[in-house]
Amino acid sequence: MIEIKDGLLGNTAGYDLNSLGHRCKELSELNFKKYFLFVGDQIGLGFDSPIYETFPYLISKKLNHNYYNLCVFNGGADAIKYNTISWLFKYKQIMPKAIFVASEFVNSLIISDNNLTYLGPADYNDDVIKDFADGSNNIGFYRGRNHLLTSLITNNINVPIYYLNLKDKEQLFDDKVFVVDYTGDLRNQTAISNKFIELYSQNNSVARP
Amino acid sequence: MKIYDKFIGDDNAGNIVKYAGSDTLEDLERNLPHTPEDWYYKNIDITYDFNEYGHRCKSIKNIDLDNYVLLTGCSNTAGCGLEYEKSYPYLLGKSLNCDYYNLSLIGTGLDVLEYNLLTWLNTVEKKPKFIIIQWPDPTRFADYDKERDNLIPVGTWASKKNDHYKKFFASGDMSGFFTARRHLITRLLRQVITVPIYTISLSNLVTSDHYSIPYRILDRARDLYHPGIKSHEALHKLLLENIAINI
Repeated sequence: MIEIKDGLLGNTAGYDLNSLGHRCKELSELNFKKYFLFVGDQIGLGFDSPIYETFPYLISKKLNHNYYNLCVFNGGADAIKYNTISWLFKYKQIMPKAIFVASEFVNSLIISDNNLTYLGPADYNDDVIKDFADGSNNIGFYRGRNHLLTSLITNNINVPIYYLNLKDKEQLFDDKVFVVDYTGDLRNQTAISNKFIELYSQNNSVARP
Repeated sequence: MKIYDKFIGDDNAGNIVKYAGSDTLEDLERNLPHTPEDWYYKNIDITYDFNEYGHRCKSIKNIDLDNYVLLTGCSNTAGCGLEYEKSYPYLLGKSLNCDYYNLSLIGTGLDVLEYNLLTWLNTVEKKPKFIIIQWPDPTRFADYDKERDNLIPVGTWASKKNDHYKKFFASGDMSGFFTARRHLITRLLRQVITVPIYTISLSNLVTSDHYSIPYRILDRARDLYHPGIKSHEALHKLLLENIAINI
């Protein structure tokens, strides 16, 4: 399930989650002076690995930054939008040095019941969800949703964005961000962190005379 | 619709057109023989004057940002089928003696409404006195045509096209996706907006907002579909009453 706490969408189940349902330190412990923000889904949560082997941890450690991990399991585009925009409005004056986006299933859906007794990721084995996904694919719902999300983020957030473009997965951003193409094993958090670090370091290297 | 620099607006940005949305010349010509002799719209010219962002109001640079109200919604707030001076946003601005900016777009859904409102709040430094949100049909969305860089409004009217649309609307409702989407958008907007909000709902639409002011359709506009002059006047009065209570 997914919950909204302190204005952010978080996970209700998983390992090493903080009180808001995010796989990182408590928000109150974040040093806002020098930090990265991570958004996306399970790939950025890395539940298969201990927290100190996940790419948000590895990147931040290597580049000597603090970090906050807003990834939501199967949250899809809607969770990326909710958390990124909410963060922007909450912490506009203390935005991160960079935002890293990685989503394995960007077309995931968050559903509820009529009384809003819960929020949670849709089950793609459910026939109704299959129908919805099929309809959505054929009438441009995902295409429009993803375009609005990327435009909203890139037009409103003035922070470098690094996007992990995964082979054979729906691509979210295609311009105005730094795209890191990745074709390797999705569970290899070290390889993913190395790819991100490589591009980040290139962009931030000081040219010597 | 298009994304112009910052905001999403009508295709006709910077232009004045005679017809828009469901208010078409073809429908008018077809309906005319069946309307009463004294039908208001028989001899009235309606113009849709879109500013540089494709919004039916003054340009942002001509708005007094120290004294303005922000409105958003769909065709019901854009004043489809109506002279703009008869629409409730215009009447409200006049009654309150302040400027207003109308982000509403014909055919729009929650996604575009959310986009424009968030972008306004993030990029326009001076905040409005209050914001009026007229909730559109929560099943609507914008498709994107990459080749033409256009956003295409999609709503239940598209169900006639093929079964994929019917499947989408039915399963989106049954699965609880539309409920969750509506809730998340409402919640995010309420979270980031720091000025008073008045919300309006057409009586036939479900919203995630229990405090909405009802938008009753008392008559019809020129397209014989959207709310007409009396409906806009009544909503304007209702809004003034609600605003007065809070002041």
